[in-house]
Amino acid sequence: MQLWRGMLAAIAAVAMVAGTAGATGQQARTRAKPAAETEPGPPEKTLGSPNAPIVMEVFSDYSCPVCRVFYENVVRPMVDDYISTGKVYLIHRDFPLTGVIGHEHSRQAALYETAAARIGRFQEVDAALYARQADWTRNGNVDAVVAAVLSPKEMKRVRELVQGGKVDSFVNSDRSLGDSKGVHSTPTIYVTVHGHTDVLPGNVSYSLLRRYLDEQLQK
Amino acid sequence: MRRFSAGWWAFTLLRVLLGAVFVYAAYTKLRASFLLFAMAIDAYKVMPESMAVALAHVLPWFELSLGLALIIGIWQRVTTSAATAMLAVFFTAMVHAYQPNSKEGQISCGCFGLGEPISGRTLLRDGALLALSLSLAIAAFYAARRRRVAQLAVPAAGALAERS
Repeated sequence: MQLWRGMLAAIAAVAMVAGTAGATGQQARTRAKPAAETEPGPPEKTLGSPNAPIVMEVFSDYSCPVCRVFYENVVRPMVDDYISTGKVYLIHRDFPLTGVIGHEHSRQAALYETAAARIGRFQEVDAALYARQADWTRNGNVDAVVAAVLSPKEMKRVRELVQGGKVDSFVNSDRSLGDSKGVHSTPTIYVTVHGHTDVLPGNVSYSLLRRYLDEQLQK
Repeated sequence: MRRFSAGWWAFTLLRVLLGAVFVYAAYTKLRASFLLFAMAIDAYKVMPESMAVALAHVLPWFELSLGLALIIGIWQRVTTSAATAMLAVFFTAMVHAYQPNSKEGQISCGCFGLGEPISGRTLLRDGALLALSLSLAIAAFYAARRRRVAQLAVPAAGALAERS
């Protein structure tokens, strides 16, 4: 019986050491990541007023279905309810996933979107890339999707920027910022209010987000 | 003066540590908006949103009570069994939601606040805590059984002594 108790105690001790080591290590990492400062976004890839009390920074990948659902179910209604009313400042960050099946054209989409943002057509291209995600992720024809929402003159300029490598650094910069903050999946959502940052789950529902934003606005 | 065995000390120490983990888990949730925890529960998509909100209100307080009870050492069979059941439910939900190679829509474990995605590491940690809790529950039931046998044995031994 003593042996049996000793074995139980040994199992428990090993489990405890593994458990607490995991907990403390992970917590230390998690605490450090969201504490990173929210850098102001490039004005072309943001929505709302920079003076809004809530800053929402979203790292996303245009090939990611969860990002599309987030855009359609959360960002769209949020534009009317919180962004246009000056309550939320939304910063879009490109975080094209690499080495993942189905994301072969993510970077290209981010480059086109950034180029479109440079000429002031971010919202149109952003919406089009999500709306026709199933098409261009399959055939890789990002150009056609973007061309459908821009004028020939605008499209010419966008192609020049993409092909001339003039927007690579912006996408790389977003990606590096995400890496430095510990982003490992998309969408990753950071909400900063009064200098305090929370990380929200990527599949957050709009009804819960609304309650959360309203609560934050009352602070 | 009563002398305690090494097994008793090990059991007590580990029970207190498990209790501290529960208290810490509750603290990380209670210090933030309950809506963040509600989002974490809702992200698992295993229950209606209203139930996730209700659970987000109740669960941290339950974790805190359970953690304190484990530290104090009251109702040991009940508290260790409750901790085991709770950790088993968490572990099952995490295994169900775990997507090893996905980088899209990874959900937060919600174990110690938000921002910690489910990973091999979190599964190992919760699995280890489950093993610990189960070991403590078995030990608590075993100790109670030994005490009961000892209580029955004392009068029986007395009766035998009187007869002889």
